[in-house]
Amino acid sequence: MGGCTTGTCNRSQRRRIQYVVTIVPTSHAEDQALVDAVLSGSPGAFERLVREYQKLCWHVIHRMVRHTEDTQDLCQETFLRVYQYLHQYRNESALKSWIAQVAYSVAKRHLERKRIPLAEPSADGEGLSPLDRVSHDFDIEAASIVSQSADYLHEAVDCLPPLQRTILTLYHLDEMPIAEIATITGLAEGTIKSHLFRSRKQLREALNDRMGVAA
Amino acid sequence: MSPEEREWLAQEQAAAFERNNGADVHDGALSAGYVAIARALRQPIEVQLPADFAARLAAMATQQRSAVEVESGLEKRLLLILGIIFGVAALVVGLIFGASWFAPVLGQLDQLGQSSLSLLLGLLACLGGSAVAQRLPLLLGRKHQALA
Repeated sequence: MGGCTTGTCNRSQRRRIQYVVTIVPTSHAEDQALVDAVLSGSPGAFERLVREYQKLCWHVIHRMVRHTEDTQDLCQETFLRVYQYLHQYRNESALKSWIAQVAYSVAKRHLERKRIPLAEPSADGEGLSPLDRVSHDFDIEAASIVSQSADYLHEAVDCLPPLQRTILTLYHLDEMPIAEIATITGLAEGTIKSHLFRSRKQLREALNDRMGVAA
Repeated sequence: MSPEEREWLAQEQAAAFERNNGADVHDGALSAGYVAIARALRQPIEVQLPADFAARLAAMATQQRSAVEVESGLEKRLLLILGIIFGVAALVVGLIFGASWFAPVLGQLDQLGQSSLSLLLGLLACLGGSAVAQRLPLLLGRKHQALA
């Protein structure tokens, strides 16, 4: 539309491109200012950093481990690690991604210690998909179809493997772009897209089956 | 467009529809089927951290930092004292026994030819180069420690 795909940009297009190029580091500049404040021991700076990113940290870790007390401990471990290694933060990526990356690796290591697989194959040994483990005890008549399907979906999301749950949450709830999720998880963008596609398809099929039963 | 591509588009349309609070349009029954999923995935997750989590963590981090600073200060001072003691001891021993140690070495060096000396220097250069090459990946990989 307004791009210069043929390689011949007019002046206004060039100006727009320059604006885009200069606006990007500005957001990271705020991150860098916060990092500098923490590193110089400015009072309240680290507390501000924790307050700003604790929600994201909780999302990543809780989606991975699902256990509330473990999540609390791992959130603490994540921020202490962030504090310890903050001098290594380079302004190349957003601080948000860097912290999410630390949280992801802390949670991943926790799962590895507990021998919990990060991503399961689509079907287990008995030919059951993770969503087949969702409880069938819903009181169909007690709730409306809409709220019932929402409850069912939450339970179905919980039954997905940790990696898929986390990717879905980062993409839909935290509104992170696929490239950023790829950086956080250390996976290729294509792999993230594939996980997103398959998980949402699985959820839709499970919901369709469920609603078919309900009807 | 393949069926998979159409399904991906439908998923993305549903996601955009929910992200923009229904301002975006989604067409077709396929994307409509994904709207409920996109809505469920956008439901906030309750963050069950204590209200003073950030403050407590900041206090804990500051404590750790000062403990590390005290420790590293003490370590530095001890290392300096040790260095001075070793330096003085080496100087004293060198002054007492140095002449008897260095005389045979200097004698042997005189016996070695110019070619043997260059071979020895070449060997030392190879060893040095190999040691640097081994340490280089470690030095470069240090910045990723926080993520390990």
